[in-house]
Amino acid sequence: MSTRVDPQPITEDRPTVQIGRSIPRLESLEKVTGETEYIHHLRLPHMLYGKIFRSSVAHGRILKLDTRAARELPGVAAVITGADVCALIPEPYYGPAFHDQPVLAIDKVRYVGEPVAVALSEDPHLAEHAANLIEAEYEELPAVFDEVEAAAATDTFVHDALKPAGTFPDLKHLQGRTKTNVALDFSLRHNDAERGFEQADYIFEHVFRTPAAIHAAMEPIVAVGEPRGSSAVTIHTSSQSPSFVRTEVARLLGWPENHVRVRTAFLGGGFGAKLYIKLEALVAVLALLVKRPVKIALTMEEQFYTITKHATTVRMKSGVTKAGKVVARRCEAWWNGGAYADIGPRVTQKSGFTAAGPYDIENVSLDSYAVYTNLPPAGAFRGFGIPQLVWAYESHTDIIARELELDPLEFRRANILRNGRPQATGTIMRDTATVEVLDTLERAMDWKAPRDPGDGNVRRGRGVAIGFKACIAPTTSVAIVNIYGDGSCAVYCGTVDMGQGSDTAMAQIAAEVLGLDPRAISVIHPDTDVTPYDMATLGSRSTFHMGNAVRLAALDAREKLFIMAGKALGCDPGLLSAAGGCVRAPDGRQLSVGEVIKSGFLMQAGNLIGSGSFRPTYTSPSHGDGQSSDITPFWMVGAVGADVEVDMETGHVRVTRLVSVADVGTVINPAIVTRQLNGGAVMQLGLTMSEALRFDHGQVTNASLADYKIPGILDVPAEIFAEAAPGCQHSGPFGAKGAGETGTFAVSPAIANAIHDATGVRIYDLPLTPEVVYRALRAAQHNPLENEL
Amino acid sequence: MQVTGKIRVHAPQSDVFAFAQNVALLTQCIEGCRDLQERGDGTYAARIEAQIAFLRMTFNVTVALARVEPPHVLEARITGSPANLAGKVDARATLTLEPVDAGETDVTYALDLSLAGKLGGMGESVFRAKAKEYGDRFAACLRDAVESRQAEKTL
Amino acid sequence: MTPFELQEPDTLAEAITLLDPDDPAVRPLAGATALMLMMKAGLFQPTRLVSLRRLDDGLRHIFIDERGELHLGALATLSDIERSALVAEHAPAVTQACHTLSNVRVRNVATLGGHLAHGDPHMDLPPLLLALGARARAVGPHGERWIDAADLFVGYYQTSLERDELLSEIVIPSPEPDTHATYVKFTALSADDWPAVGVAAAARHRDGVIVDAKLAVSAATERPTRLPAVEAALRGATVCADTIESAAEAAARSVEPLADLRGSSAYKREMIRVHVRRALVTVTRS
Repeated sequence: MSTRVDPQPITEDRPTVQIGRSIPRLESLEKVTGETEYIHHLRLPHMLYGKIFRSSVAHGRILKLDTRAARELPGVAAVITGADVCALIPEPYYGPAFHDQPVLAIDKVRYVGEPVAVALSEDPHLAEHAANLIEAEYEELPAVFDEVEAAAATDTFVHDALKPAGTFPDLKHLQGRTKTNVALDFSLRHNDAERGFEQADYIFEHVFRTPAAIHAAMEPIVAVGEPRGSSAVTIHTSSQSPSFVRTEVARLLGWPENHVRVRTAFLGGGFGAKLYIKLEALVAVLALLVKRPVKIALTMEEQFYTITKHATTVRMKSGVTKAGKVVARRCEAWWNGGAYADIGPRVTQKSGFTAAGPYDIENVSLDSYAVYTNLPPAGAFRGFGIPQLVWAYESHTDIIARELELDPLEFRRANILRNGRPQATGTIMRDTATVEVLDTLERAMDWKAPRDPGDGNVRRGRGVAIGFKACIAPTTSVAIVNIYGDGSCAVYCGTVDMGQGSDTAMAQIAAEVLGLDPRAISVIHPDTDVTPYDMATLGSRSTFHMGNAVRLAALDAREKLFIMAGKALGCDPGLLSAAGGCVRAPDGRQLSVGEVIKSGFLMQAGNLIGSGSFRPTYTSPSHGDGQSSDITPFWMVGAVGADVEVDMETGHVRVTRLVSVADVGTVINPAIVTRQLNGGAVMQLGLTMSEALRFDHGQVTNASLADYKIPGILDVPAEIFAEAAPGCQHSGPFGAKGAGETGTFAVSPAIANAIHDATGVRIYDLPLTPEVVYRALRAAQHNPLENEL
Repeated sequence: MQVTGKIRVHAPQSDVFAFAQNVALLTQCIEGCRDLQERGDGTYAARIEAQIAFLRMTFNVTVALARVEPPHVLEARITGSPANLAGKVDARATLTLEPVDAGETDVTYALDLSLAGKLGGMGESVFRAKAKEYGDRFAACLRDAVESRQAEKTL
Repeated sequence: MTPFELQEPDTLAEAITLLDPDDPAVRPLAGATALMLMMKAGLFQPTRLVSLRRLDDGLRHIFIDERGELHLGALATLSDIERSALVAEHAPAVTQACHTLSNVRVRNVATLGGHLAHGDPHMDLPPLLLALGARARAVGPHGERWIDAADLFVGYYQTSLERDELLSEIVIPSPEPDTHATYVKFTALSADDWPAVGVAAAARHRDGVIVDAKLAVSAATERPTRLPAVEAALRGATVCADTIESAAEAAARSVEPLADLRGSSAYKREMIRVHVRRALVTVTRS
């Protein structure tokens, strides 16, 4: 096995064939013909459907749970409660950062919508009816909803004590901490912010907010638990993290990992919602309790009670010199994590240390708080907290530029963090195209061209913003490349293709090494009994991590292929090359890959298996000052330019042009990268203009796509395009790095900055609905619209 | 969601208050409220059949007077759950009585209604549209009931 | 969703006998685009649904009679109406409204009759039908009757149809020459959202004087609402910015907008003012 743990340059020195090609996605045909496998379609013999009975109070002690009417309903197989779960698993609490979330509520409920019991029936409608017959009595407890208030609370606590999972060293100090809602307080100190403020000529300070939101994947979360006797279980799930699911379910059950099999199919979108444990522990437990396969498929409504995007409050303070240099910045971020930590503490830390933005600022002070509240849990969401922070620091940066009457783009360029300079953690920037991204955006936008500001009722404006993100670390990907007896080839990898096109990218990488046609390579979907370990499909890590692992696995397989071919051709294997589906000797003789295998196994038989494992280096930030010499395997940079038209009479904003520029390193498949960037931008456009969960006493009041509006095709700007800035991540496969989230980073502030450019009005809280903009316009005219319910 | 309204009643403040703090009388003014039963601990069990056009929902509720401050303020709390649908309803109705003169009282009602479960997650807009109408009908019914008792008194 | 009985009668008469005048849990079903959402949400738990999709008289007709009136069958889909050349010629504002009515998937199955009989104030065509002076033909156990569109909508989800009456068609009268009509849909969240405010206007003007005007608002109000006082003030007024502005102001003051996720009452009032003005500018343009 080839293992590489250090980010040494491993790019090829010869021109590539498959890299940089926009081959169509491997699964396109089966998707448009409706043949694609989704777990949603899975039906197993004797399978039961589970419907979840959910809490109707935000915080309460369960006094009584009456399941009799549900159990007695004809056709109901069972009704399972937290007590039943405890009989199988004494401590049924899970979570990637904290073991705080029960499989079903035990003694207490902590948010409206929390699963309390499950009714099971062969008929999903009967199961639903039965779930409606369950009655619960609660002693209601005071609840906390706002992240800043919850962090400061002295008498209302969501959890009695903190229970870190032990996975992450920086959470260990929190073990057993009581009387707090702060699940993680991450601090970073880079030089001396206070001294920096003293040296500054101007001080700027603002507070920005973003609301909770949902991922709204087209395929809601679904899982099927299938018992295999009483000591093994298979979980079919629409998960982005099958390896994690196996580890965590095995831990809960006290079983070795090889007793738990987790498999996925294609996912109808993930966006971070389908990570870690969602329904998997529940369906596994239910299946083992009732000894039958159990399927739970959430409705779109139920997704609103399952996992959300963190609402945030971010306070930004900057010290700036007369020359337009930012010399000090202080950021405080409160992350509304909801009732269970999920991956929130990682968001708090991993995004937290970038909260000062992609700028070269000498003095930085950052504090980032993961806060428990009595709301649905918040977790990973495309961008992993970065869009919330970019909303704050790029609105803030724009305000500074405009107040100092500096060109917003020039002001950014003058302060940008360049390669060779330390980021706030102390890590030296490398292979990060911050300058190139700004330059490309400037050209793509034709930034300096004169523009029509509009007049009267329609005002036009233009805004830019830039954000950056570190990649989660340290994480591992393992891949296998298997060449079959006829020379065909499969890649076994745990990367979940949820629409981002990873199957195609991995096939292109393997094909490049093996000289094959990528369209002829099969990519085996995650099945922990078959495919090797992968940390998860998240955080734009797959192209880099799994791409490297696949490349190493393909190199390993190629080495074996060349040894075999060397014998057949009577040639030194080191002189062979692979191209066009053949292995070639320097004298021009060649054998097809199938012929090579036949020569080695004497018939169409056997396998040539290569494997690769990849884990980049990493240095954990030190506790207290957050400093690290090696905080991330790579940086992603995304900038957006937006042109808007504001209807001054209604506050309605139309984005007429949206330009995304990203540093994605070498582009493996330009068409897919463009769609990822534009797709990310449109998703963030929705989060900018309309998407927000509305709550009343902890109850989501817009839990449907009729009332929670995501953008439709008519909301997509008439002009939208994405461009990759020139860049190369030398530690990435063929120079590539992630592209799945970069398009989301800078959309929101670019639009708000454009609105300011058009109208002179600044908005601090998302989303930018017409009423929000209208009220701001009226306030600016000293004629505020009356407030009423 | 919160709805408020105001209505003028031709009756002295003390008479309005006396009427309103009688739960049996007060609940007669809640449309669809049936089968009121006193539980003995100051709370009452009742059923509310709410009809919004062709949508019909039954709630099993508990009614209690949460605050009694004669002769100005009265607060009732109605908690319960919809029948055959997981969820919860929690309403706080505050009546504030202000004397206009010896024979007239202004009654302001403030209803703070929260719904949990499907009704709260997906039915909020329907309830919001109807809450004001319900509130106004409640106030009008209260006025009529108090005034007709007033009329009986003077006979 | 709870189990229910589904009936698919062949004739209108049979459908009517399957309906129940006293039971709100028995409902007719056409395109099912609205009702199914309510059923999935558990808001509506029917005991019986009477599907109209197999009716032998398809009720999907679209024609113009000898008096020049446009007849739209109650079971014509919104796509049928959107794509009809007759509608485009006779009532172009209806065609225009259909283009942004929900989305193409809904328009392909939702029917005109369901669109109206559902009584949801956020629907797009009701205010326009009010402004166009349309009427509806309703069929019940005792025969049929005509209902003026303005009398059809009585409250949130409430129409003046009896529970055992069905709409069979909508008739839009022949417009007076030089009548211009429009529908303005203002969405607050996404473009394909329900309107936060809907405004329909139809007007006729000659020599700079408004001869006739009809105005209706919807979505912000609990039912699509004609504004007769504003209309009366417009009649005989000169076409000018002041006339339109004061009509817009009067329209905004004459309704009590409902607050919801799409906007506060105060904001919707402002939006009614703006969009009434814009609608009137459009229909009084020469």
